[in-house]
Amino acid sequence: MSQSPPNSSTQQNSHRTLTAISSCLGISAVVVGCTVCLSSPLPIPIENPLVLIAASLFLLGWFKSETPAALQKLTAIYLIGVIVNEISVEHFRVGVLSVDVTVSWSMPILLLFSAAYLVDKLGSIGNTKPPQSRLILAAWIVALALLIAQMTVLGPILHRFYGYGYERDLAVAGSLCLYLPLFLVLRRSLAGVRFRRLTGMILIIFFLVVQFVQK
Amino acid sequence: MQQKGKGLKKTVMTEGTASLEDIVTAPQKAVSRGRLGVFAIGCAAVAIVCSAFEFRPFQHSRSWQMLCPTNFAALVWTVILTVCLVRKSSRKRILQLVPHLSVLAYLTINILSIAFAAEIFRAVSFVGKLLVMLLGGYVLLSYAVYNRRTFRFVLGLITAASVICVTGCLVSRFVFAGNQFGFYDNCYKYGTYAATMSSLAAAYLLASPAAISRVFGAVLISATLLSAGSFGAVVAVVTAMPAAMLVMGRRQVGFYISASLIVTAVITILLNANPNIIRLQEDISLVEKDGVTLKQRYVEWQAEINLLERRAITGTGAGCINDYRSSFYYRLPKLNTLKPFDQNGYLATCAETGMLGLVCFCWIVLHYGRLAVLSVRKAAAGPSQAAYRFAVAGFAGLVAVCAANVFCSAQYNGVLIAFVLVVVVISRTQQLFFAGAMKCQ
Repeated sequence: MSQSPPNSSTQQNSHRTLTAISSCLGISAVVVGCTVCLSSPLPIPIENPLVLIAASLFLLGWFKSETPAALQKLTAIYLIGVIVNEISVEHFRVGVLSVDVTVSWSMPILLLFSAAYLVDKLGSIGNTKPPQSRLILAAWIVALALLIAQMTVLGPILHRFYGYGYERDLAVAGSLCLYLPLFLVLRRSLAGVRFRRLTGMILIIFFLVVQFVQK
Repeated sequence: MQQKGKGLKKTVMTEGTASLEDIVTAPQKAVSRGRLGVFAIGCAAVAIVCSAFEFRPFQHSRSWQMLCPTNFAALVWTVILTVCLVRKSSRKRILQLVPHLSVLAYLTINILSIAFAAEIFRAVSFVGKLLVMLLGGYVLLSYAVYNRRTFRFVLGLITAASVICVTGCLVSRFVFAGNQFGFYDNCYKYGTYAATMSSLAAAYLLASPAAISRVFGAVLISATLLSAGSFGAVVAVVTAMPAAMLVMGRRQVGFYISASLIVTAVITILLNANPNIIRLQEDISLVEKDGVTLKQRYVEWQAEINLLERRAITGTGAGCINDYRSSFYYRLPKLNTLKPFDQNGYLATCAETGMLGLVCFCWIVLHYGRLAVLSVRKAAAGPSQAAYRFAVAGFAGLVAVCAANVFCSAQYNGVLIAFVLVVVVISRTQQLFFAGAMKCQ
C-alpha cells in the first residue's frame, strides 16, 4: 500500500521537528554537564587534556566508511562518559516532602539524555538499529557479569579474613550499571552527524578551558 | 564427522549453502602472495619461535624488550600496513586483513585513556606495544596464513614454540632445580603464554586422525601442567582441554585428554616432596606463606574494584594501574608480597581504561568466540579435516587465554603474541574455509 504525498510530507516534518527537539535536549545535557564540571575543580584531574582535545576534533570529521564512523561514535560516547564520570561525584540537595535528598549531578544529565532518546524514538521512521548492536549489548552484559561475579567471589573471602563487607561493591555495581543506559541512549543520539559535530565543538571548548585552567 | 580422505576435492553439496568444493579448494585457487608473502612467512616464523624465548638473551635491556624479534617483526608490518593504507592500489587488499572493529575500538579506548595517565611515557609505551602487536602483528600473521599449507606451517611453528618453551621450563625446574621457568623469569607470564600456546597446539594435534599426533598432544598437555608454577596456567589448560573435548565430541580424543590430566595429577602428587612443586601449591593457596594472611592477589583485586567507584569511565590510564591502586586498599592490608605480573587481566583492563575498555575487550572475545563456535560447527559438518583441526585449535586457544587472563593479563609484552595468534587462527579459519558458507546463512 503506497502512502499519499501529503501524509508523507507531514510525517517528514514531524520527524524533523522531533529530531531537532531531541538534538536540543542532548546538547543541553552536554552543556549542563560541562558547566557543572567547570563550576568546581575537577575531582578526577585530566593529566593530558590535549588527547581529549584531539579526540573532540575527530568528532568534527565526516567519514564515508562505517569503521571510522563507528570509532567516532565510540569516541563521543567516551568523552561524554568522562563528563558524566567527573560530575557523578558531585551532589546537590533537593527537598522532597520535607526530607533532604542528596542527588548526584549525573542524574539530571542522564534524564536529559533519556528525554532526548525518547523524543528521537518517537519521531523515528523505521528501525534504525546499528549493525553489531546485539554483540555490543552482549559485551556490556558480559563485562558487568564478570565484575559482579568477581565481587561475589571476593566478598566472602575478604569478609572471612578481614570482616570486609559488600558496601563498596554495591556502590561500584550501581554506578557501573548506570553507564549501560547512558551508552544505549547516546548510541542512538550520536547517530546524527549534526549532533555529533555540535557535541564535538562544545567539548573542544570545554577541554581547552580545562587545559588553560590547569596550567 | 567424516574422516578426511585424500580426495579432498570431492564435491559435497549441502542444502541451502554454496558448493563446499569452492570453499574447500579456495586456498589452492588463492593468488600467490609473491615476495611479500614469503617475507611475511619469514617474519611470522621469527616472531612465533622467538616468542618462546621471551626476551632472552638480553632480558634486562629495556630497548631489547621493546624491539625483540617478535615486536620488531610486528613493528615492520605496522609500517608496511601504514604504507599500504596510504597507497590506494594496495589499500583494499590490506584492509581485508585488518582486525575486526572490536579490536580497533579497544585500541581507541586505550589511546583515549592516556589523557588520565599520570605517567604519560608509560601509558604511551604500553599503548604503543598494544598497537604494534594488535595491528601490525595481526596483519603479519594474517598475511602469512594465505592457504592451507601456510596455515599448517604456522600451526607447526606454534607447536614448536610450545615445545621449546615447556621443555626449557621442565629442564630448568626439574633438572637444574632452578627458580626460573625456562626462558621466562616470571611464572605468571610463563603460565599465560605456555597455557595458551600449548592449548592451541594440543587441540590441533588431538584433532588429527593420526594416533601419534594425538599422543604428542596429550604429552604436551601433561608437560605444560607439570611445568606450571601458577594457578592460572593450570586453570587455563584444565578449562580449555575439556572444552575442546566437548566440541570435538569424539571418545578417542576424550580418552587422550582424560588420560593426560589423570597422569599429570598422579605425577604431581608423587613429586609432592619436590620443592619445585611447592611453587604451584603456594600459588593455589588462599593464604600467604605465613598461613594466616590472605594472599595479596585477592586484596589487589578488591582494590581495583574499589577504584571503579571513582574512575568508572576515566580509569587510571593504560598501563598505569600501579600509580593509583595503593590509594584504594582502604582498610584492607597492603603487604609487599604481591609478585610482578600477578594481575587479573579483566580487572586491570577495567581499572586502567574504564568500563568502556572492558566492554570493548569483551566484545573482542565475544566476536571471535562466536566465529570460533560457528567454524567448529561448520567444520564438523563438512569434509575438510584441516578446517576442523584449525577450528578446534582456535576455540581451545581462546578458552585458554580467557581463563589465563584471570590470573595474569594476556596483554603483557611478550605474552600478547599468544592472544594475537589465537584470534588470527580463528579469523583465518573462517575466512579461508567458511566465508562463503557463512555469508549464505
